[in-house]
Amino acid sequence: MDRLVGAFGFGLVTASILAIAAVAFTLQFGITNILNLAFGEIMTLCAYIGYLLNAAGASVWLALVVGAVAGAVFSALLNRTIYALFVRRGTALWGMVIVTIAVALIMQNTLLGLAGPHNFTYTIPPATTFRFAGLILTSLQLEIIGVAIVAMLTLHMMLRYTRLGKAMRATASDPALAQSCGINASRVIDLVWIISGALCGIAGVTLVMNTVSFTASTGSDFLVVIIAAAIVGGVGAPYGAMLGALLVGVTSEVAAVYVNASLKNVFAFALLLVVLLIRPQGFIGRARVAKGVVT
Amino acid sequence: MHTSATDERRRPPPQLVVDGLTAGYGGATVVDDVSFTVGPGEVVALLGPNGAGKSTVLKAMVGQARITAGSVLLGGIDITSVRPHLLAGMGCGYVPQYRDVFDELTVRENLEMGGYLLGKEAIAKRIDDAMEVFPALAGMMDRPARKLSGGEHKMLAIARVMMSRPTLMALDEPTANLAPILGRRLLDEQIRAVVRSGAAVLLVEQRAAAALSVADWAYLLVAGRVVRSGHPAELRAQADFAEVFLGGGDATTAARNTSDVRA
Repeated sequence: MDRLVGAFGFGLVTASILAIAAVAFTLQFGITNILNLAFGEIMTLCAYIGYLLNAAGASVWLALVVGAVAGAVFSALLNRTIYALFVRRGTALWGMVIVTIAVALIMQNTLLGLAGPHNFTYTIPPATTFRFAGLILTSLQLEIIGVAIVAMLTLHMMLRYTRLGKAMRATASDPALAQSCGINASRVIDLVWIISGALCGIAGVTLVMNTVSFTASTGSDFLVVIIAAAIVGGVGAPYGAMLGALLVGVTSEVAAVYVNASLKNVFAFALLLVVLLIRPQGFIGRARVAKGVVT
Repeated sequence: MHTSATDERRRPPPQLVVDGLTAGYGGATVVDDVSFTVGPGEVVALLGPNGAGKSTVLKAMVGQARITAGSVLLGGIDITSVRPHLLAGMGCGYVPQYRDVFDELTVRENLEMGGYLLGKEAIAKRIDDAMEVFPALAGMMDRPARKLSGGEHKMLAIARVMMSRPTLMALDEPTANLAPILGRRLLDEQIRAVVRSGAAVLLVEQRAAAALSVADWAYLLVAGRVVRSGHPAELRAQADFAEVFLGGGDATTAARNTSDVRA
């Protein structure tokens, strides 16, 4: 029982990082209709930038803030300079998937070329360990959970209660109709890339804060789990992505403890298949084909 | 184009002037050299059989179809090539036939999006005003739009556009997915309420009889061209009106839509 509770604790940390990433990934798709498979590489880029700062003596929290800013700026520029060009030329959903794969490969190989095939580790002060109700978590892990909770609550408040958030949901629901209401859909989409990019940067830095070391492929390796969480929750549904992250994160960590750590993604994807068999649109999402929608 | 003998000078000075509009999608031309006007407080019906190009005229006006020739003037301002998101601020309101509300947003949020360019207080005031015209929506403000019935859905679509107090309200087949009695009520009550606000109403309809009963003036579009215009009573009185209507589209549908045109 202690092992199960302990695994659940680890699962909560993984789920927290996964929630930040999956919500950002699904927000991008739901509003811009671009399935950005370079998301993992942007996470890695932000982790590297954070690492350079951390190696120069900055705290991991400053690295986190700079990683968020880097993710926001890079994502917005990536959309403006590459993705938007293809969208304007009428490239369809699956064509855009290929474009994002091309960007991902270019980024990963550039990162590999610049940083080399090494493992990098953040310098983090020794953490205090907390034990309660069978859970064993370090102060750093609790802080990561806290970051995720703050990020999710902030996003929730923005989407539900602010003019910008409602305009984002309206644009996701129907861009042409949103424009007929006076909403500048292209500006909304720019802001979506900035917000989701910042979350991507936060996910990248917290991911490597929670691991022993990272390489040029860490982000892309994590992307498959992000996609699993987003699909389990319902593609294009941020609240679904939060739920999907919790399920996938906890399932994979429990499987790692009870079966084999190297098989944890196998269980995450087995869960994905079971969910899709029972509810093809995911937990929160409704049946949609061509257009993602934020719910 | 055959024009009714009724003195067109009795119509109000136009709020909307569409002149020689040629438009379509990609390289295909769907409507060719279409001209018409709509005055403030006037309901103008744009009629025609299925495939005549009625919806394309509206889509061209709001920047969703490509205009290759002609112009669109609203309140004397050329809006032909204005970017779509700026049109609402210029007084152009549009209710599409399909996807006319934000399904994932609540009724209140839909109305808020209709008043997107307004301040918070103005939005609250206009929601209250909208509830006077559409009292059925008042009890369902927090319900997602996707859960509304067909009639409620269309009421919300019109109420959403009314939030911005447009000087032009363009409606694309508002009765198409409604039961006949609901469609009739929509035209008789809600469209009349829009007119009372002083807006020019451009009503695209395939159901000619229903549209003519509410319109002050009508244009008949067949195969992308305006072939006839006039006062509804005069159009109804023309012996060949149904035949001309039949000329450009599906005969069964046109016959049904014009069967009671003389009623």
